[in-house]
Amino acid sequence: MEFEKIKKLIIEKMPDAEVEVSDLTGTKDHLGLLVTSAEFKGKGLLAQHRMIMDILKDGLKNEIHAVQIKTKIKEN
Amino acid sequence: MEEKTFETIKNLISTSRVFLFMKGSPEMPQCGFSANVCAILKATGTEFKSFDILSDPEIRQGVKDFSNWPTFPQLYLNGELVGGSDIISEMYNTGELQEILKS
Repeated sequence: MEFEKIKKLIIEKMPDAEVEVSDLTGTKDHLGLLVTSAEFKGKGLLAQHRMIMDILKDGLKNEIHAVQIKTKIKEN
Repeated sequence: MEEKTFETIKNLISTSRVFLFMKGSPEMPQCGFSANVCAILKATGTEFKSFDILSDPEIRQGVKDFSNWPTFPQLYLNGELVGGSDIISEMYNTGELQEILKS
């Protein structure tokens, strides 16, 4: 899965999101994701990560072995 | 998911206040993320029980369906999913994990 495709997937579902994707191992199957969005406000960490997991679900099953997620709340 | 698998998982989780589904055992983790969560639990002095999901494909798939969470490890507190490696690390760094494990 291309990094740009992942960014696009997330931004489609969360239009205000700022997404940084990094390749943790150089093999494109261990990804680091930093997502900043106001939509995380008022949600617990598990719920925040679930939002991202749900968006990535199909990609995770096949091409990605591991993804490290970090969420940040966007302050206006 | 089979009713039987579902029951087995619920019974497993209920055997300990803190329960970890992981790859390998706490003594010999088979994955860096599982090793990380074990190390954090040890650092907090938390007693926990674990299950090696590599030893049973049915439980492995069953836990994913049970929690609707696609990856391992999965840490449960009082029968509720707290999170995987990233969430546990972050909560440990902020001190939130120590708080909820204490209470």
